[in-house]
Amino acid sequence: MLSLQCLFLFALLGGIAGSPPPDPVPILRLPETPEELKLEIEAAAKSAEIDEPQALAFAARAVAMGKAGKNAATRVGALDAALRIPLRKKSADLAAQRDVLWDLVIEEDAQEGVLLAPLVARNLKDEARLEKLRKKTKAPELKATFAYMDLLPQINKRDRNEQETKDLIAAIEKLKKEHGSVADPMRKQTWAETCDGVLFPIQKLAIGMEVPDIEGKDTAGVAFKLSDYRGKVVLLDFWGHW
Amino acid sequence: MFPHERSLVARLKDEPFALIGINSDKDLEKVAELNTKESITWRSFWNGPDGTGGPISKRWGVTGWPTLYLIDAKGKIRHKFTGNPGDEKLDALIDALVQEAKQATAGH
Repeated sequence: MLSLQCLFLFALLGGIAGSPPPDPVPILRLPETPEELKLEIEAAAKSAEIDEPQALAFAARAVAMGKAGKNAATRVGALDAALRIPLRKKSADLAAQRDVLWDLVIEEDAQEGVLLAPLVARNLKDEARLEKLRKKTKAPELKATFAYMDLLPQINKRDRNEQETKDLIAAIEKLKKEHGSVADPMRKQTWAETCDGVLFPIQKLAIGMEVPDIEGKDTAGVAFKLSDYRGKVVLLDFWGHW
Repeated sequence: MFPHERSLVARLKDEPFALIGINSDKDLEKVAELNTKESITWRSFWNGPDGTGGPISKRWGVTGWPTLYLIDAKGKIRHKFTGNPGDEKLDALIDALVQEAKQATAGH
């Protein structure tokens, strides 16, 4: 015991051989980026279900990152990371952490349409927060996103009568006219293109319409067309083995 | 759905009817393997390596699997289902359209 203490003392005083103690290596840690945090959350969620303490620890890091963030990308990224924490049970504490970031982003970055539009589109359930943002923003990408959001209940409705279909088509045409040239950052195209994509199934795939042709390759790699089967009743089935 | 589809294809093999799939699996090699295992003989377009996010389902606005379209012999969309409508119902609708197609041919 005594000899151990001596050895420790020796080491402290400069080592047995008299060599100077090594300089402490400075720990150079770059500040964590939102992308790193997102990847870590994703990896943690893959290996096991995330519990509340774990979720709150991730959220705390996101909040710290957001508060320290000197630019919109970091703050919005931190909010995005916090919103991606997959916790199944409801947690008031997690909601409070997310609210801190929402408030920060709405306060500082409400005009960052390109950064915020995809986040808004992915978090439509956060209605109260989105309303706040909607009131504050003048960003064209967000105005278009919010206009589209208003149409979603109708777009997602399975059975529309003739009048509802007409009204919906008119509403989408209006959105296209007003916001068509604006970027849709989530889909990486313009809102005109997004509107056309939404209109296609509504206009062309209604009961009674002539079916649009499909050209492609079969699972053996042979090219064919749906119209090759004209003259036969066709059951077209979107399916998979999963 | 496979057992019913197999029997449907077998039952209507001499009728003006075709079952055409839009296969939305990501891995094409596995599809070939599983098609053999499951005796899937009908033809499918492949929706591409993005699976359910592939170009055909995206263009058609498909968000649920299976989604079914029943198209008559003239190429008109007559019925559309998100989710399996039930074997008996589907059989009845197909049979009616097949009859319609045969009568139209006989009338010419």
